[in-house]
Amino acid sequence: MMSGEKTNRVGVFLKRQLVNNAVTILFFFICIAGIILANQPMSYIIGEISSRLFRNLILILALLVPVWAGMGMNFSIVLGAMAAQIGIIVSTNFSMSGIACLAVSFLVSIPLSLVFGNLTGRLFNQTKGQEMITGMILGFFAKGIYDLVFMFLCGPVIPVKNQALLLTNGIGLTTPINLDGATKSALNKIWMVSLDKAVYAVLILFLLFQAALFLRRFLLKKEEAKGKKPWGLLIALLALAVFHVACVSSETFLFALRFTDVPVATGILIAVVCVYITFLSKTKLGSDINAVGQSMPIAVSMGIPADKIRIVAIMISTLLAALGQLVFIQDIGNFTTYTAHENVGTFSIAALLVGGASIKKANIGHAILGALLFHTMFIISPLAGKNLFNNAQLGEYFRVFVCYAVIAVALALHAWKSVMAKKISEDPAEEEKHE
Amino acid sequence: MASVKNMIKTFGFPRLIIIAFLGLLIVMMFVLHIPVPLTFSQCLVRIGINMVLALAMVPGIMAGTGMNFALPLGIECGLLAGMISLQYNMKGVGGIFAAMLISVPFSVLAGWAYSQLVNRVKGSEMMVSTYIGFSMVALMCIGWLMLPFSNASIVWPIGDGLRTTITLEEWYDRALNNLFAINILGVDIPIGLILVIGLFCLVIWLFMKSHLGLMMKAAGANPNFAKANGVKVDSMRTVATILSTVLGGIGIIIYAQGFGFYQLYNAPLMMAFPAIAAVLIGGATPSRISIFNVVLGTVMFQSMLAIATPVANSLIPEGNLSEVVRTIVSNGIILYALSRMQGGKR
Repeated sequence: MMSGEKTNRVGVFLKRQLVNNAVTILFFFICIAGIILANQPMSYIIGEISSRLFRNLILILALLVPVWAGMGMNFSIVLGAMAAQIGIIVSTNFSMSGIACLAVSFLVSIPLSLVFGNLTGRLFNQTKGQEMITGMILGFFAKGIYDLVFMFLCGPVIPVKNQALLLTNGIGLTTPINLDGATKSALNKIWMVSLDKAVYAVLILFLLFQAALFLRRFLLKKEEAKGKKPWGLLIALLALAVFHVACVSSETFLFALRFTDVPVATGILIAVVCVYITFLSKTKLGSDINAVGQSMPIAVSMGIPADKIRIVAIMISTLLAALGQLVFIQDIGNFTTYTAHENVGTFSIAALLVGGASIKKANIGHAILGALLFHTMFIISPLAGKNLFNNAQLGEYFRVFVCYAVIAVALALHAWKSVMAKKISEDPAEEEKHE
Repeated sequence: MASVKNMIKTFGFPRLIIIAFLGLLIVMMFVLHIPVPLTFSQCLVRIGINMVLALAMVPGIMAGTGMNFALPLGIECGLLAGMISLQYNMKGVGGIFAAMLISVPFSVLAGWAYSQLVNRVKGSEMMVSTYIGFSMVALMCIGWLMLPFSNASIVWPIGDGLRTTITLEEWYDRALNNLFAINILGVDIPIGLILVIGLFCLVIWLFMKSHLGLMMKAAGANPNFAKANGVKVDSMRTVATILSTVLGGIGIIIYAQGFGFYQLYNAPLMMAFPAIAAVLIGGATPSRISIFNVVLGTVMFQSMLAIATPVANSLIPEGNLSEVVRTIVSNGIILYALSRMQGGKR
C-alpha cells in the first residue's frame, strides 16, 4: 500500500515537473533553433547575452519577494522604474556627472520608491486575489500621472534648472534624456574583465564556497549531514571541469569569451542583491513573508500582521526595481523619458516565467536562467526572422508575441491548477462553499 | 445629510468627480470660444462609434466572467473581416454590414476557443484574458504581415504585408455617420449611426430579458445556486464569451467606419481599457451591469474626451494633454472598481 502510494507520488511529481518546466524546455529549443537560424558569430551572441544579463537581472530579481508573499508577479515594479527615472532627472537637473550622478539618483529614488511601494501595497491589500491585474492597471495609471508631471508641469509649475532638459518652448521635458559621457556606464566602467576570466573566477569561488560548506558539515558532524552526499561540491567541480575543457578544446568559444568584457562592479551589485534576498528569506521577516504566502488566514491566526508584511514585500520589490532600472539606464546611457518604464514589468515577468518560475514559486536560479533564455530569444528572433522570411519585423513581432504568450500560458496554467486543486478538495465532501 | 451621503455613496465618488470635470470642460469650452456645434458633432460621433465596444462588456459581466479584458480578441476578428471586405471592394453601407457579417463566424470560433480557457481559470479571468488579448494582438501582427491580401490599396507598395493605417475613403468612410444625417443648429446628427447603435442596444436589452439572458444572469450572480436550479453555468459562460467577442468584432467595424480608417498591428492592444472604463463610469461594477450603465458611461466618457481634446489644445498646444487625461481617468476608474470589488465581497 505504502509503496504503491509512493510510486504514484513520484509519477505525479515527475508529471508536475514536466508541466511546470514545459515553458523552459520549449524555450530552450526555440533558442537553439534561433541561434542556428540567426547564423551569427558566437562572439556577437555571447557578448549581447552577457551585457543583457547584467543589464536586466536586478529588475527580474525585484520580482521575487512578492511572489513569496503570495501576491503573484508584481506588475507594479513599473513604479520603481519611474522612481529611478525621477532620480536621474533630478540629478541631471543639478548637472551632476559620473558615479556621483548615479549615487544621487539612487538616493533620490529610495524614498520615492518606498513611498510608491507603500501606497501600492495598501492598494493591493484592498484587492486581495487580484493583485496582478491591479498592479498592471496601476502601472498604466501611474504612467498617466508621470506624463502629466513631466510633460506639462515641469517648466511652468515645477522649476527646472537645467535648460537642456526642457523642450524649446519651456513646457515639459525633452525625450530621450541622455546621460553625459562620464555618467554613461559609470558603474560598468569601474572595472571590466574579460568573460573567460570572470567565469573562471565565479566557478572557482563557487567551488571554494561548496568546499567550505562541505568541510563545515564534515567537521561539525551534523546528524542530518551523514546521509547526504556532497552534491554541491561535485556540481561545482564538474562545472569548472566542463568549462575548462570547453575553453581548451574550442578556439572560437575561447575567442568569443575573451572578446566579451563584463562589468565587475555591476556583477558585485547583482551578487549583493542575491545575497540580500537569500539572507532575507532566512530572517524572521522572510519566514513571515513565506507564511503569508502559504495561507493568509493561518498567518493571521499565528499573529503575523499579514497586511503589513504584504506592504513590506512590495516596498522591497519596488526599491529593488528602482535600483535595477538605474543599472539598466546607466548601461544604455539614455532613456526615453515617457516610455522607458512601460515594458519593464512585462519583460521582467516574462523572463522570470521562462526561467521556470510560477505565480507561487520563484527563486534566484529561475531569474538567472530566465534572463539568459529570454534575452537569447530577444536577440536572435529578429535575426532569425530576417534569415528565414527575409523580414526582420516578423521576428520582432514574434518575440513580442512570445513574451505575452508566455505570461498568458503561465497565468492560465496556474489558475487552472488552482481550480483543479479546489475541485479535488471539494468534490469528496460534496459540500458547497458559501462565501 | 445622511441621505445626501448615502446618495453620494451609491452614486460613487469618482463618478461625481467625472461629472464635475465634464461640467468644467463645458464651461471652459464656452470661455475659450471653441466652436460648440463642431465639438458636439464630434461628441455624437465618438459616442456612437464606441458604444458597441462598450456593449461587449455586458455579456461577460452578466455571466460572471467579469470585465472582458480580452476584447482585442474580438477586435482582431472584426479587423480581419474588415480587411476581407476591403480586399473584395465592398463599398458603402452595404460594405459595412457585409464586414460585420463576415466577422461573426471568426468571432464565434475565437470566442468559443477562448471560452474553453475562461471556464478553466475561474477566479483569474481578468488577468488571463488581458494577456490572451495581448498575445492575440501580437500574433495577428504576424498575421497582417503574412496573410495573402493582394488589393494594392491595402498592402504596402514595397515589402510584405498590410499597411499600418488604411484610410477608408475608397470604401465606406463615415458611411453610417452620413446615412440620413441631419444638421440642427450646426450640429451634425448622425441618424444612421444612432439607429444602428440603438438597434444593437435594443437587441442586447431584449437578450437580457430573454430566458437565456436570465439564466445567464443567474449563473453570474450565484453559480452554485444556479447549478442547483439546473442552469448549465459553463455553457452560459461560453455563450457570454462568444457574444462578447462577436460584439467586439462588430464594434471595431463601426468604430473604424466612423473614424475613417482601420488601424492594424499594435493599435488594438489597449482598446479594451476605454470600453471597460466607460461602463464603469456609467455605474457598472465587475459583477453588475445594465444597458443604461453602458449608454450613460459611454456618453459621459466619450463626451469628456471629445471636449477635452480642443480645450487642452487651446490651453497647451504642444503635447497631448487629452491623451494623458484619458490615461489617468480610464485607469483610475478601473483601479477604483477593482478596489471596490473586494469591499463588496466582504
